[in-house]
Amino acid sequence: MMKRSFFGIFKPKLEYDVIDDIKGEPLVVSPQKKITLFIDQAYEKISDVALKVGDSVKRGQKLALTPGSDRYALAGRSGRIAGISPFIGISGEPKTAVDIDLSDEGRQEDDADFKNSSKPPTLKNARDFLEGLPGKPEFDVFSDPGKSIRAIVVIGVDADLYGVANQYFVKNNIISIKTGIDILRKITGVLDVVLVVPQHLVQTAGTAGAIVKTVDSRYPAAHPRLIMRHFQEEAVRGGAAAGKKSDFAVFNAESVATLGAAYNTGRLPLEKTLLFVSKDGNKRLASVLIGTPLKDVLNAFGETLNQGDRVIFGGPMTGVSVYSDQHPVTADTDTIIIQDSSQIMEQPGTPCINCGECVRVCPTNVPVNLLIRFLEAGQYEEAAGQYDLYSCIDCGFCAYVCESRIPIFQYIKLAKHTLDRMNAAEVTHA
Amino acid sequence: MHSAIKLTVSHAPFCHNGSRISAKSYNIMLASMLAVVPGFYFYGLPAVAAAALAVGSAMAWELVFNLISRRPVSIGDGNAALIGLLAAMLLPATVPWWIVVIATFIAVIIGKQIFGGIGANPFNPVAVAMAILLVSWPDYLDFNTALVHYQFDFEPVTYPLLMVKSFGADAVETMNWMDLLMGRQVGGIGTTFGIGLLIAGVYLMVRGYIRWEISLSFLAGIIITAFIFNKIDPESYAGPVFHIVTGYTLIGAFMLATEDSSSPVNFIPMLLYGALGGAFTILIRNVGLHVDGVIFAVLVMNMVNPLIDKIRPKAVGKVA
Amino acid sequence: MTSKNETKLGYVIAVVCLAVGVLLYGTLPAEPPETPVRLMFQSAAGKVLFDHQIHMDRYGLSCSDCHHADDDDSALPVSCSDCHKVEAEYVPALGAGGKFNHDAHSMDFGFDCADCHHMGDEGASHCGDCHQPGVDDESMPGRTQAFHSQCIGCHEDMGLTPGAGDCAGCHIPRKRAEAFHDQCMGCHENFGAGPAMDDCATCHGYGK
Repeated sequence: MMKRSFFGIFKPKLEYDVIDDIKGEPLVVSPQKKITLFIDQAYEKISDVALKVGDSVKRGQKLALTPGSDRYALAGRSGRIAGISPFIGISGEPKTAVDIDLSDEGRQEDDADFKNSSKPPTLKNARDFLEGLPGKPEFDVFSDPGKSIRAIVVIGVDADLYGVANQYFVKNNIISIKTGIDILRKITGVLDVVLVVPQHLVQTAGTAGAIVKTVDSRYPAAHPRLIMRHFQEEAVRGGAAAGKKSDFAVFNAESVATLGAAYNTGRLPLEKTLLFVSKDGNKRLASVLIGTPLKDVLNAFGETLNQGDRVIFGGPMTGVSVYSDQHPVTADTDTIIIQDSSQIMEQPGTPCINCGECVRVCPTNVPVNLLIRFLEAGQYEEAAGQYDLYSCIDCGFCAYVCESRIPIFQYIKLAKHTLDRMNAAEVTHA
Repeated sequence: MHSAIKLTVSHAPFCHNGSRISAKSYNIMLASMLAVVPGFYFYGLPAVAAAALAVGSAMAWELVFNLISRRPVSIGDGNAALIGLLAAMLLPATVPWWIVVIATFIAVIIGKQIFGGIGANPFNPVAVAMAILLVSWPDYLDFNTALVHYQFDFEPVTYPLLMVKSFGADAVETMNWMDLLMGRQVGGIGTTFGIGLLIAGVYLMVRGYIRWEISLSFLAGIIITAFIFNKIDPESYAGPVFHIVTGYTLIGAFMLATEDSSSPVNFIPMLLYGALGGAFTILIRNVGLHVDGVIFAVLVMNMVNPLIDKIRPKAVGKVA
Repeated sequence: MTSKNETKLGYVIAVVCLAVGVLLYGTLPAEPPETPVRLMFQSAAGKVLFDHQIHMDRYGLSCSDCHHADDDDSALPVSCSDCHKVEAEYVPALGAGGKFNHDAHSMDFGFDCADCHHMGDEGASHCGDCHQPGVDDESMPGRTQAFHSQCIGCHEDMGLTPGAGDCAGCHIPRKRAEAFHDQCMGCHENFGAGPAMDDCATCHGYGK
């Protein structure tokens, strides 16, 4: 499916998936007994936790560890909190996992907080309630005094391969996107809105009332950081004040669409649209309530897991493999890929042979062949100073083409993570 | 959040284009067969013996070094086999067994393993071996001497590059470039059948196993430099076509200069590396001491490779 | 293919190739062919590539045309360097270092002086006084002719060796360079073909 083409003289082409190729309506997956929500805040550091085991939760209720915190999760079903525990993310991000035992279908209660405070839409109620929506909208940039937002960029393409969530909303729900864009204009005061879509959706996107731009159909053209870089360069060329960085606010099409729907209906739509790729390579759309454990999704698609299989949340290039079938779907889970243990490539311990494939595919001209030598030796400062570690946009293309099958991407992430921690420690101790 | 089933957890990316070092090695070896098999036909069983012993002994040296240095056995990547085959292709068919074994020893151990194995060698291992052999046992590598017992159906039965070096361009006027390309010349086991090498080269370039930038610029360097020499003094210096189809030119362009570890990876450096290598080859052939310049030109370019590979595009988003 | 299988394949290739290589090197004949195709003469002035086959086939030369040591074409010709050594000095049959043994002839074989020497008033004359090297006319044979007819004539009369044609029987063979130059160039000059004596590099152009 994604093998090296016979003609290796050309750069490897990884085409993004096209929503038109995915047949059928999304399969609605409902959680069976419980959901698990993540709050991006360390559990241990909170002295007076606002949430307690046994608390009842209403549908659409905002869950925060401290009252008024801007770190929160949104419950998609009513029920009772069954557990609160610390959870460590892939790069060590401290989180808090909240397990909710669901009450029966017939006894769902709706939380009225959002409905009551959402008229008229304001930046404040958006920040207070909508950051947990599918697609993870973020409104912090608008209130950052150091930034002046030139334009809002709505991304109607998907960053990783197999991702179709944003395309799905552009194709099927452009009216909600238009509503969302209008609301965003109103609440932020930023009138320039750009909608970035793949070539095949230009017609549809034209009706959203925004400037439409297209991106190439090859990975990693739709990577958000590449798109933003493009906009920044364009702004500079277009005569933006020299030396002043132009700022853009970025939203996924999915989050804009759900935002539009939320203000329209007064209810929070917490169903994440995602692409489920089964072991046999079948791709099917699903609409899964945020917090639904993986197991329920697997059951809905009739997929079974065996020892040694791999489950990937996110795309094949940049996703995260999870270690438990209890792992919940989150607001940014665009794809779930199930790989049979026999499909998993082994990693032979060969050093870099300097074939240069990585250098030729790198979208940002990082000298990966030199970089990896420093990363393998743990010399992260040299890597950052001389070999452009921070130009890397984390697309993973280098590791995909690596003939020696070096986990280059992992080395890069580890280096960035280590340097971040060192810098943070320096700031603390300064 | 525990699960009864143990899942595989690893870092992204979770897919791979399937390329592997062994595939590259074996593809280059298979492509080389296009030149080696005609070599077997021209020179008979002694050529088979030399090639088989070279491949076998190269892998044996690799294995021996793996065991001595207590590192994982690396003969599976096919690189040692490839080194052995390329070394055999450069040798005359009647080469004594001990020259073959020494050649692969130098290539695998001195050329590659002592630097840290595959990917760590600053010089092309095969070129290192050939250079040491050329200065240590020149008589065994003299094609005219080595092949005196062979009866060929072409004339003159002499190494074309030596002819032009000793007797000037007139001496090779009777040699038809098409004949030379078809292997009607004296040379190494796998270096005389130019058509085979050309097809192999095109195949490897198209498959992406060698970098076309290096091969084509190497040939361009040869053509331009030879053309200039030929224009200045057509009596002493043969023309570009002659230089393309004789000696180690084609195997050098497609299989020696393109060795991964010792060649550049960026676009402009690749072009520079190849073109300068080609130019050096002709300089050595025309005004240098040695009859063929490919081996030494490749080594010289290997030496400057880290320097010229510094010419690279600025990373995107890099400040200053 | 997993790396384990790769390694297995590597072992197989290595063992097969080593076996084939050793076997072929062990069984292939090390002896050169009986009739050489080409010969590469090593020489201080540069190697000389001699195309033996072409000289035989194209110029119609018989073995004895060059291999002068034997008259019988059916026998295996003696290789030039068997007699003509690189370092050999040209040594006459007579005189110091020569093969002629005066004492044996005069004392053991019972010859009188007069059997060989022309006897004058002052006893036996010195051959070289009259027979000058390089001078040969009707009245006075040159030194070479005088010795050859004197020695060989007697040997043939007596049915003794060495006889005519057996140069090495009396003379130590000439050094190789001289023999080759005379042999090759003499023939080339006679036929007016090929490289001549003043054209060193044309033959000695095949490397050091």
